[in-house]
Amino acid sequence: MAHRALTIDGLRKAYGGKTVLDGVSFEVPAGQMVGIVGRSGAGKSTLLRCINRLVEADAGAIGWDGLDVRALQGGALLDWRARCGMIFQQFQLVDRMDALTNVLLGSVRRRRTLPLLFRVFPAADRAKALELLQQLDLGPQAGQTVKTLSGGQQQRVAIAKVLMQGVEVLLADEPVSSLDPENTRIVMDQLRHLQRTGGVTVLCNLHNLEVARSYCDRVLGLSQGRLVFDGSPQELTAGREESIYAGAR
Amino acid sequence: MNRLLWLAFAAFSAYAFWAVDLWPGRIWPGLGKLARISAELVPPDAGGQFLTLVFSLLETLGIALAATVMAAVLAFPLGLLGSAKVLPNWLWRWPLRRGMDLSRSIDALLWALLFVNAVGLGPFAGVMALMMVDLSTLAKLFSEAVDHSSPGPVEGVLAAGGNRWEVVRFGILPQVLPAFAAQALYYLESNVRHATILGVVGAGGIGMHLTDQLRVNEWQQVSMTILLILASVTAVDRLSRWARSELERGS
Repeated sequence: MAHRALTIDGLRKAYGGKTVLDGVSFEVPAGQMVGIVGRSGAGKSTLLRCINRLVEADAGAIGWDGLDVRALQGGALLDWRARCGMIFQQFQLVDRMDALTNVLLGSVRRRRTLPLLFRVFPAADRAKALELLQQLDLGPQAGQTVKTLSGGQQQRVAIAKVLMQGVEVLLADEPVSSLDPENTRIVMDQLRHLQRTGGVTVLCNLHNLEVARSYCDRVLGLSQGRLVFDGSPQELTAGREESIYAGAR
Repeated sequence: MNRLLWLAFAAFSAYAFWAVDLWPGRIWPGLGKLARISAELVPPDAGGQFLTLVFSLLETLGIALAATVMAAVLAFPLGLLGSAKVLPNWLWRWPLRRGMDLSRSIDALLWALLFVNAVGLGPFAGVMALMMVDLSTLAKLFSEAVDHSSPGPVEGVLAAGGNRWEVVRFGILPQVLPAFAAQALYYLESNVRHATILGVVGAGGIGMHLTDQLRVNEWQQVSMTILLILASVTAVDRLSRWARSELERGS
């Protein structure tokens, strides 16, 4: 039972009659870096959001390390979200607050609510958050309001936040789609680093197949809510590529 | 159908003109009187009561400030609870919003009359009256600001395992607080203007003196009082406009 793996079994989701996920099943062994590709609207974002329950699936099962994710309630659900971090295309940071506070929000589940509401964080946490920002070359920007940072910098703040969070699984929803090539490289290198040295299981939605090829151990292809490809980047030939992107509409 | 509506409109307008006895001939004698009053307005003179006037003007400013602060403080939780983003349960939101609509649709002067009867003459009634109107308006504006806030930061806090308190504190409040403050400041300006006439119904402040002076035809004192009101309203407007522009720059 307790072999560490993320298992998705028969996951379904429809929005008002429109099927977005049509029985998706796969298993990701712990510590793997998986790229998920497919055209927009294929269900990639919904899939990731079902995993951390920002979206409730209609049917199917999600498991991690013996945990029945879809059955989690209350505090147990929040605990799962803390173990299963997420970064986003639009960063989703508290952009009117400083970078350091945003990183500290990664510790939200480990700390008591009341002091947190007054932005009182333990000194050790503050030191850790600053250290994480420095690791990501953002030391000088720690006190800066997030909305004044560039996209690449904001995504690095988001990565520092999930590092603070201490995640076991990382869901990355188009993390580099709004970044230039240089920042794409920096952010993807960081995700790879997280996976290699931290043993974090990474599921990463990607627009760009080249990025998926050069960074992922395995690629999943989604088309119209169905899994149409599951293999190594080498197996993703031009012909297979077409089958992922064709057929829609 | 359209023509019928126009006909009804014309008929009602004609009735209105007749009912209020609107007739150009009536304004001429009035104009003459106005000219005589205007002449008597100058030079403004406090009639030895300058300090009294200044103090009751301060009372007026106090009424406006106290009413705005109380309204803003009470509207803060109501505004949050009135938004679907904080409380998805419409069963509670519906009566809250209708109740706010009701208290807003009664003018401050009417509330003042009610409160003068309830708590007696004086500034306390004025504060309560202004607060009743502002509380509901600010609560509505606050909930609308929350409704229109971006879902991004909320998603970010949720994804890290934040509970609903933390979602409100970090996902919503940083986005809406500058808007809340700007709206409260705007109501402070409007309250200063409103507070000057509350005295007419006995609810404290400079209005009380103004009515007395008008009643006994002390026109020089009237003009002095009006000048003092103008000066303080302008000062508060300037100050609040400056504070609002600072808020915008900071956000």
